[in-house]
Amino acid sequence: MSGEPIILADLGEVEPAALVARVAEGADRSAFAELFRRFAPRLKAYLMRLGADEGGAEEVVQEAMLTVWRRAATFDARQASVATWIFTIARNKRIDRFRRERRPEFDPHDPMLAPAADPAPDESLGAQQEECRLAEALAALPAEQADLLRLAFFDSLSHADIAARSGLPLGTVKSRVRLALGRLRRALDGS
Amino acid sequence: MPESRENFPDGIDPAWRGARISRILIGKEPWETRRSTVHTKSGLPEHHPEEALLLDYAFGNAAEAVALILAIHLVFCPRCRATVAAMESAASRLVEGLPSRPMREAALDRLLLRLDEPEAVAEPDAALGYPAPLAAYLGSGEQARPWRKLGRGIEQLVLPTAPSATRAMLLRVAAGRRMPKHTHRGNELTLVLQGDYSDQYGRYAQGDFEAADGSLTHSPAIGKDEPCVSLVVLDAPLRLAGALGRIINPFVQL
Ligand SMILES: [Zn+2]
Repeated sequence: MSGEPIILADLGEVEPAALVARVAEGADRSAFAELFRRFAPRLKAYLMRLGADEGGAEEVVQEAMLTVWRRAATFDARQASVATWIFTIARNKRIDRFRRERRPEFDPHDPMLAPAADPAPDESLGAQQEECRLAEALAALPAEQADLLRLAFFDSLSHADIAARSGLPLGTVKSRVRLALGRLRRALDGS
Repeated sequence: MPESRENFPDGIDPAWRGARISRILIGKEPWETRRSTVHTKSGLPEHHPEEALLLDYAFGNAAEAVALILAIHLVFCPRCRATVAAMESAASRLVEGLPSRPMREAALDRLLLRLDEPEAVAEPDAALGYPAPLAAYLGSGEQARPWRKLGRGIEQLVLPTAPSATRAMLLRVAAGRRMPKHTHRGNELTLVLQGDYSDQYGRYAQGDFEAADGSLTHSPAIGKDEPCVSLVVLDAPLRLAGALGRIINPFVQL
């Protein structure tokens, strides 16, 4: 029914997770269009920052957002925020497209998946709240750790690539990653 | 972790981008009937990949074979899943910090027209009884990828990852064998899928992850009760001479 006229409601105030739920439960095109408006320009910026040309970036965004539409029912707000979920989809599409590789990914519904211990209900932060704490911790990282994360992310460099290019010993790169991670995880644990 | 495993010596291809063989598994027992699938054991992994490798995975910078071995570890390891989730959230924040780039006009309209398109045909049937990320590489039925007998209780199955210096393979070694003492020229990542082995760093059972480099010399022993199936990722050729060299020739063809 691709010819059906679409009336796009004003959903500017609706939380992203609620938009994904509308897509999952009701194949709601208005909700999907709102997700597209909010997230597609960010994904495009990400892809172009990592070296895609504009046309290639737009195509990967289209593929990623199509996956958002098709996989909306697999979104789990306890696991990640909508922004992070959509980012991971775009990351994987980028690998498919620009590196011509598959992206192995664990499946949360794999019967072999070892379950995580359930946190007590009042201990578990919502994913959204977790991400606020994480953003604070990220902003507070010492410069050398923050720079390393930016280099890894924006220049698509593995930790070994970073060591080779920067001349830093591999052990130093690893320990900076470890320290940065320690801070991010402590922020999430609330300690 | 001992210091020798933290610092890779100079001269080794710094990226985990290439593959080669992992362990040289040799023993004296007759060939054993093997199990065809992986059985879940209780208990969580005790040996984990380093954070720097998990970061490569979360940020999309790991070679395919490395991403595969990490994805399988994540199936078995809630702790590392939480670490990767935190890294992905951090990546998402970095994306949000970029100035956004408006999509071209009509990009949304074009996408809305595609929403009812049927999905492309799914991948061929995955093998049953393996963790999902691995099953997708094994195929099933007619399309199942074959195991190759290398002799001396060792079987090998090379996985079809994209062409790269880094490759992945399954190794199945009969119970009770001991590998000869060996070193590695490049980096080697191992994940146990079934059974167990032990070396001077400990015992490695289902879900456990071990990284070794050129500085490591070890002689892993396979557990007595069942064959050990492991996924191995290598990034440098093995170069061994003499009788041992002949034994590992099949690996070197990788
Ligand atoms: Zn782990």
